[in-house]
Amino acid sequence: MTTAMISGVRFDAIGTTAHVLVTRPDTLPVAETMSRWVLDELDLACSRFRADSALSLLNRTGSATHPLLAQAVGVALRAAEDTGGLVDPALGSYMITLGYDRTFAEVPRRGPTTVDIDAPPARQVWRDITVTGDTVTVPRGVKVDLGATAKAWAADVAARRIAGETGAGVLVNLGGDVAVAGAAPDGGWSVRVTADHASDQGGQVVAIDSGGLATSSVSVRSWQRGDRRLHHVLDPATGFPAARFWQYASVSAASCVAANTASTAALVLGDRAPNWLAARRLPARLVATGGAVTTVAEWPEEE
Amino acid sequence: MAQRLNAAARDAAASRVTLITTGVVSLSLAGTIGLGYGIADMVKAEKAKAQQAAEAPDPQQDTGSQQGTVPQGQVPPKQTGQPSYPGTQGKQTPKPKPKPTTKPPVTSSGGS
Repeated sequence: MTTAMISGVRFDAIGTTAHVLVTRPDTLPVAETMSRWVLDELDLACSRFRADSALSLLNRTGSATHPLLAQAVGVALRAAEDTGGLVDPALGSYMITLGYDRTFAEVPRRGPTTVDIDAPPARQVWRDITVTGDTVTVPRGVKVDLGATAKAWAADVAARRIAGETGAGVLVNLGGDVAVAGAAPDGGWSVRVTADHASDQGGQVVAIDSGGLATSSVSVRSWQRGDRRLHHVLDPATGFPAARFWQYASVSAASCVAANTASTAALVLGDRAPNWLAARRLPARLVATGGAVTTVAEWPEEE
Repeated sequence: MAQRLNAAARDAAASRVTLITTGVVSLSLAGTIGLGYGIADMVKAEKAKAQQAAEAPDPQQDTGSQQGTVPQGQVPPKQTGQPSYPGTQGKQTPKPKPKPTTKPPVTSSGGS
């Protein structure tokens, strides 16, 4: 812990907001430069929405060689493995069919067509994605979507690198995926967990001093096709958005990507989420669509 | 036909050869020493990592002493032998726990 004056900068990146905070104001320019660099590199490697990205090449041709993409896919496959496929990076084609085929800002919020898709095969195809060195290969027809892990992983990478370079305590928040590194300020980093990362209302304020904190929500990135309300957290069992049991789920873990993997899995699991999280000793706060709050493991009580 | 160098040119050429040789030898030595230090550091880091892993408490062994005081609606931790999690595989760092705070928030975690 350190007594410090927290200084921060906010900017738009990778289709969301980046918020970078440091405990030493003199290090903020370096922190911002490093964050922007990490996010630019991530976008070039892992964006589904730019034709020149390594991920787009992978999804077009079935193979791509790029060190950052290989690492990001490796992280996504590990998340899939550790959740038994609840967080599945091989659902890109389902996301496209559902209408999320461009940056979310460009996705029409309403469309007349009712979406109809076949359920994914019982054999989880993410298991057939391979990473060999810097080369990623996917089975024919499979499209990868790294939305559930890449942003959180980038927050971890950026926070760690900035702390290593500057010696300051660092918090990197990428669209609600929060990673911290270095010495935290006295009392920790106070973070509001709420449905929308852009909101400064509601939810609960907690403090963290290491690892990561992430919140997944079904209400922010959502759109409508026909009479069906859709969102971006897909259930691998159906290929459709997960049932709206929880409005949002916040999880604290040793890293931001671990936290975001778990919060995404919680939305997919629905009413089974509390026991699943408790079994993994992951502190979590789940808010049902009706507003009822369930806390798991050692998540703190509301003040 | 071979041409003899004058003495000054010969000495200058010999001096350049000496300088170049000294430079090459110095660089080689520096490289070898640097490589040696690099390897030594890597070995130290690996040893420290292994020692840290051996000494770190097993998160699965931490039984959660506050089970009797969990707030209403809270699901306590269970011991189920479930697999560990990304970033917390095996005997790595214990999972951090969020704490209550009265400080105003510096940022928000929410859907995006």
